[in-house]
Amino acid sequence: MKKYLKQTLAVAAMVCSFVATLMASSACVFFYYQPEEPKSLQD
Amino acid sequence: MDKLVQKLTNMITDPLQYDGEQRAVVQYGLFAIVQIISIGLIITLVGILADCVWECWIVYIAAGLLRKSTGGAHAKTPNACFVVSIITVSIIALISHYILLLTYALPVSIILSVFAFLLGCFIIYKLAPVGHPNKPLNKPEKIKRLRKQSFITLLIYVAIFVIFLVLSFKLDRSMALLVSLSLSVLWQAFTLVKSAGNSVGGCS
Repeated sequence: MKKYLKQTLAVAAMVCSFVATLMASSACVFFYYQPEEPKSLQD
Repeated sequence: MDKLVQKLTNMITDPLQYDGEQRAVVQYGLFAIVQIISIGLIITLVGILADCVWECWIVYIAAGLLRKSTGGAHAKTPNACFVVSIITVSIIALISHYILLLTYALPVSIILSVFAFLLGCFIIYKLAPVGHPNKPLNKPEKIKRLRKQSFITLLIYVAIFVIFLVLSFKLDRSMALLVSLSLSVLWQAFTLVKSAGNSVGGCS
Protein backbone atom coordinates (compact mmCIF):
# COMPACT_ATOMS: atom_id res chain seq x y z
CA MET A 1 0.00 0.00 0.00
CA LYS A 2 2.80 2.38 0.99
CA LYS A 3 4.65 1.53 -2.21
CA TYR A 4 1.62 2.47 -4.34
CA LEU A 5 1.11 5.67 -2.37
CA LYS A 6 4.63 6.80 -3.15
CA GLN A 7 4.14 5.97 -6.84
CA THR A 8 0.86 7.88 -6.93
CA LEU A 9 2.49 10.89 -5.30
CA ALA A 10 5.35 10.72 -7.80
CA VAL A 11 2.81 10.75 -10.68
CA ALA A 12 0.99 13.71 -9.08
CA ALA A 13 4.30 15.58 -8.70
CA MET A 14 5.13 14.83 -12.33
CA VAL A 15 1.74 16.15 -13.53
CA CYS A 16 2.19 19.32 -11.43
CA SER A 17 5.72 19.83 -12.77
CA PHE A 18 4.44 19.38 -16.33
CA VAL A 19 1.70 21.98 -15.79
CA ALA A 20 4.27 24.30 -14.19
CA THR A 21 6.51 24.01 -17.25
CA LEU A 22 3.54 24.62 -19.53
CA MET A 23 2.62 27.74 -17.55
CA ALA A 24 6.22 28.95 -17.51
CA SER A 25 6.27 28.93 -21.31
CA SER A 26 3.15 31.12 -21.46
CA ALA A 27 2.58 34.79 -20.59
CA CYS A 28 0.64 34.08 -17.42
CA VAL A 29 -1.08 31.39 -15.40
CA PHE A 30 -4.61 30.83 -16.61
CA PHE A 31 -6.48 33.56 -14.68
CA TYR A 32 -6.07 36.73 -12.63
CA TYR A 33 -3.33 35.85 -10.14
CA GLN A 34 0.31 35.37 -11.00
CA PRO A 35 2.37 33.64 -8.30
CA GLU A 36 6.13 34.15 -8.36
CA GLU A 37 7.76 31.86 -10.87
CA PRO A 38 10.28 29.33 -9.48
CA LYS A 39 13.88 30.24 -10.40
CA SER A 40 14.43 27.04 -12.36
CA LEU A 41 11.53 27.92 -14.67
CA GLN A 42 12.57 31.51 -15.32
CA ASP A 43 14.11 32.55 -18.65
CA MET B 1 -6.37 29.06 -1.73
CA ASP B 2 -2.67 29.66 -1.04
CA LYS B 3 -2.86 27.63 2.19
CA LEU B 4 -4.72 24.80 0.48
CA VAL B 5 -2.09 24.62 -2.27
CA GLN B 6 0.71 24.69 0.30
CA LYS B 7 -0.88 21.82 2.25
CA LEU B 8 -1.37 19.78 -0.91
CA THR B 9 2.22 20.49 -1.96
CA ASN B 10 3.48 19.27 1.42
CA MET B 11 1.35 16.14 1.09
CA ILE B 12 2.87 15.37 -2.29
CA THR B 13 6.49 16.41 -1.82
CA ASP B 14 7.28 15.49 1.81
CA PRO B 15 7.14 11.71 1.30
CA LEU B 16 9.15 12.11 -1.90
CA GLN B 17 11.80 14.17 -0.04
CA TYR B 18 11.92 16.91 -2.69
CA ASP B 19 14.29 19.85 -2.25
CA GLY B 20 13.19 23.51 -2.13
CA GLU B 21 13.29 24.17 -5.87
CA GLN B 22 11.48 20.93 -6.81
CA ARG B 23 8.85 21.79 -4.22
CA ALA B 24 8.46 25.28 -5.70
CA VAL B 25 7.89 23.84 -9.18
CA VAL B 26 5.26 21.36 -7.92
CA GLN B 27 3.55 24.16 -5.96
CA TYR B 28 3.52 26.43 -9.01
CA GLY B 29 1.87 23.76 -11.17
CA LEU B 30 -0.51 22.71 -8.42
CA PHE B 31 -1.58 26.31 -7.95
CA ALA B 32 -2.57 26.53 -11.62
CA ILE B 33 -4.47 23.22 -11.46
CA VAL B 34 -6.37 24.17 -8.28
CA GLN B 35 -7.17 27.63 -9.69
CA ILE B 36 -8.46 26.28 -13.02
CA ILE B 37 -10.57 23.52 -11.42
CA SER B 38 -12.04 25.65 -8.62
CA ILE B 39 -13.02 28.56 -10.90
CA GLY B 40 -14.37 26.05 -13.44
CA LEU B 41 -16.57 24.39 -10.81
CA ILE B 42 -17.96 27.67 -9.48
CA ILE B 43 -18.76 29.10 -12.92
CA THR B 44 -20.45 25.81 -13.85
CA LEU B 45 -22.61 26.17 -10.75
CA VAL B 46 -23.40 29.81 -11.62
CA GLY B 47 -24.16 28.71 -15.19
CA ILE B 48 -26.55 25.99 -14.03
CA LEU B 49 -28.35 28.40 -11.70
CA ALA B 50 -28.64 31.13 -14.37
CA ASP B 51 -29.23 28.70 -17.26
CA CYS B 52 -26.12 29.84 -19.13
CA VAL B 53 -23.55 27.06 -18.65
CA TRP B 54 -22.38 27.12 -22.28
CA GLU B 55 -21.88 30.89 -22.24
CA CYS B 56 -19.91 30.62 -18.97
CA TRP B 57 -17.61 27.97 -20.43
CA ILE B 58 -17.11 29.82 -23.71
CA VAL B 59 -16.06 32.94 -21.78
CA TYR B 60 -13.88 30.96 -19.38
CA ILE B 61 -12.05 29.01 -22.08
CA ALA B 62 -11.83 31.83 -24.64
CA ALA B 63 -10.46 34.43 -22.20
CA GLY B 64 -8.23 31.88 -20.45
CA LEU B 65 -6.59 30.51 -23.58
CA LEU B 66 -6.04 33.97 -25.01
CA ARG B 67 -4.59 35.10 -21.69
CA LYS B 68 -1.96 32.36 -21.85
CA SER B 69 -0.27 34.13 -24.76
CA THR B 70 -1.26 37.77 -24.22
CA GLY B 71 -0.82 38.11 -20.43
CA GLY B 72 -2.78 40.90 -18.75
CA ALA B 73 -3.86 42.42 -15.46
CA HIS B 74 -3.51 40.38 -12.28
CA ALA B 75 -5.07 40.50 -8.84
CA LYS B 76 -2.72 40.96 -5.88
CA THR B 77 -4.00 37.93 -3.98
CA PRO B 78 -5.29 34.50 -5.07
CA ASN B 79 -8.63 35.15 -3.38
CA ALA B 80 -9.12 38.45 -5.23
CA CYS B 81 -8.25 36.59 -8.43
CA PHE B 82 -10.83 33.94 -7.61
CA VAL B 83 -13.58 36.50 -6.99
CA VAL B 84 -12.70 38.74 -9.98
CA SER B 85 -12.58 35.75 -12.34
CA ILE B 86 -15.94 34.38 -11.24
CA ILE B 87 -17.66 37.78 -11.30
CA THR B 88 -16.25 38.67 -14.73
CA VAL B 89 -17.11 35.33 -16.34
CA SER B 90 -20.61 35.35 -14.80
CA ILE B 91 -21.42 38.92 -15.88
CA ILE B 92 -20.25 38.38 -19.48
CA ALA B 93 -22.14 35.06 -19.67
CA LEU B 94 -25.32 36.62 -18.26
CA ILE B 95 -25.16 39.58 -20.69
CA SER B 96 -24.61 37.15 -23.58
CA HIS B 97 -27.49 34.93 -22.55
CA TYR B 98 -30.06 37.58 -21.68
CA ILE B 99 -29.31 39.81 -24.67
CA LEU B 100 -31.65 37.41 -26.49
CA LEU B 101 -34.55 38.98 -24.61
CA LEU B 102 -34.08 42.32 -26.42
CA THR B 103 -36.61 43.22 -29.11
CA TYR B 104 -33.98 43.48 -31.85
CA ALA B 105 -31.76 40.80 -30.42
CA LEU B 106 -30.27 39.58 -33.72
CA PRO B 107 -29.01 42.90 -35.16
CA VAL B 108 -27.95 44.18 -31.71
CA SER B 109 -26.01 40.97 -31.00
CA ILE B 110 -24.30 40.95 -34.37
CA ILE B 111 -23.30 44.63 -34.23
CA LEU B 112 -22.10 44.29 -30.63
CA SER B 113 -20.16 41.09 -31.41
CA VAL B 114 -18.44 42.45 -34.52
CA PHE B 115 -17.53 45.71 -32.75
CA ALA B 116 -16.29 43.98 -29.58
CA PHE B 117 -14.33 41.36 -31.49
CA LEU B 118 -12.62 43.86 -33.83
CA LEU B 119 -11.78 46.25 -30.99
CA GLY B 120 -10.42 43.35 -28.94
CA CYS B 121 -8.27 42.14 -31.83
CA PHE B 122 -6.93 45.68 -32.41
CA ILE B 123 -5.93 46.15 -28.75
CA ILE B 124 -4.28 42.71 -28.66
CA TYR B 125 -2.44 43.49 -31.92
CA LYS B 126 -1.14 46.74 -30.40
CA LEU B 127 -0.22 45.55 -26.89
CA ALA B 128 0.27 41.78 -26.62
CA PRO B 129 2.08 40.25 -24.84
CA VAL B 130 2.18 42.00 -21.46
CA GLY B 131 4.44 40.77 -18.65
CA HIS B 132 4.13 40.94 -14.85
CA PRO B 133 6.74 41.64 -12.10
CA ASN B 134 6.34 38.01 -10.93
CA LYS B 135 6.77 36.82 -14.51
CA PRO B 136 8.62 39.40 -16.59
CA LEU B 137 8.94 38.94 -20.33
CA ASN B 138 12.55 39.79 -21.14
CA LYS B 139 13.63 37.59 -24.01
CA PRO B 140 12.75 39.00 -27.46
CA GLU B 141 12.30 35.43 -28.81
CA LYS B 142 9.74 34.67 -26.12
CA ILE B 143 7.87 37.92 -26.78
CA LYS B 144 7.86 37.12 -30.51
CA ARG B 145 6.62 33.55 -29.87
CA LEU B 146 3.83 34.70 -27.52
CA ARG B 147 2.76 37.38 -29.99
CA LYS B 148 2.58 34.76 -32.73
CA GLN B 149 0.59 32.46 -30.42
CA SER B 150 -1.84 35.33 -29.69
CA PHE B 151 -2.49 35.82 -33.41
CA ILE B 152 -2.95 32.09 -34.01
CA THR B 153 -5.45 31.96 -31.12
CA LEU B 154 -7.28 34.98 -32.57
CA LEU B 155 -7.38 33.31 -36.01
CA ILE B 156 -9.00 30.22 -34.47
CA TYR B 157 -11.48 32.52 -32.71
CA VAL B 158 -12.26 34.21 -36.05
CA ALA B 159 -13.17 30.79 -37.51
CA ILE B 160 -15.39 29.99 -34.50
CA PHE B 161 -16.86 33.51 -34.71
CA VAL B 162 -17.88 32.96 -38.35
CA ILE B 163 -19.45 29.58 -37.53
CA PHE B 164 -21.45 31.10 -34.65
CA LEU B 165 -22.43 34.04 -36.85
CA VAL B 166 -23.80 31.80 -39.61
CA LEU B 167 -25.61 29.58 -37.12
CA SER B 168 -27.03 32.56 -35.23
CA PHE B 169 -29.55 33.20 -38.04
CA LYS B 170 -31.12 29.83 -37.17
CA LEU B 171 -30.24 29.18 -33.53
CA ASP B 172 -30.73 31.68 -30.71
CA ARG B 173 -28.19 29.90 -28.53
CA SER B 174 -25.53 30.35 -31.18
CA MET B 175 -26.16 34.10 -31.04
CA ALA B 176 -25.54 34.06 -27.28
CA LEU B 177 -22.33 32.09 -27.78
CA LEU B 178 -21.22 34.58 -30.46
CA VAL B 179 -21.71 37.48 -28.03
CA SER B 180 -19.91 35.63 -25.21
CA LEU B 181 -16.91 34.88 -27.44
CA SER B 182 -16.65 38.50 -28.62
CA LEU B 183 -17.08 40.02 -25.17
CA SER B 184 -14.49 37.68 -23.68
CA VAL B 185 -11.96 38.72 -26.35
CA LEU B 186 -12.76 42.37 -25.62
CA TRP B 187 -12.48 41.84 -21.86
CA GLN B 188 -9.16 40.07 -22.23
CA ALA B 189 -7.96 42.91 -24.47
CA PHE B 190 -9.00 45.49 -21.86
CA THR B 191 -6.93 43.74 -19.20
CA LEU B 192 -3.90 44.48 -21.39
CA VAL B 193 -4.53 48.21 -21.20
CA LYS B 194 -2.80 49.50 -18.09
CA SER B 195 -5.59 51.82 -17.04
CA ALA B 196 -8.20 49.06 -17.39
CA GLY B 197 -5.89 46.69 -15.54
CA ASN B 198 -5.61 49.06 -12.60
CA SER B 199 -9.37 49.22 -12.30
CA VAL B 200 -9.76 45.44 -11.71
CA GLY B 201 -10.12 45.21 -7.88
CA GLY B 202 -6.65 45.30 -6.39
CA CYS B 203 -4.82 44.49 -9.58
CA SER B 204 -1.21 45.27 -10.19
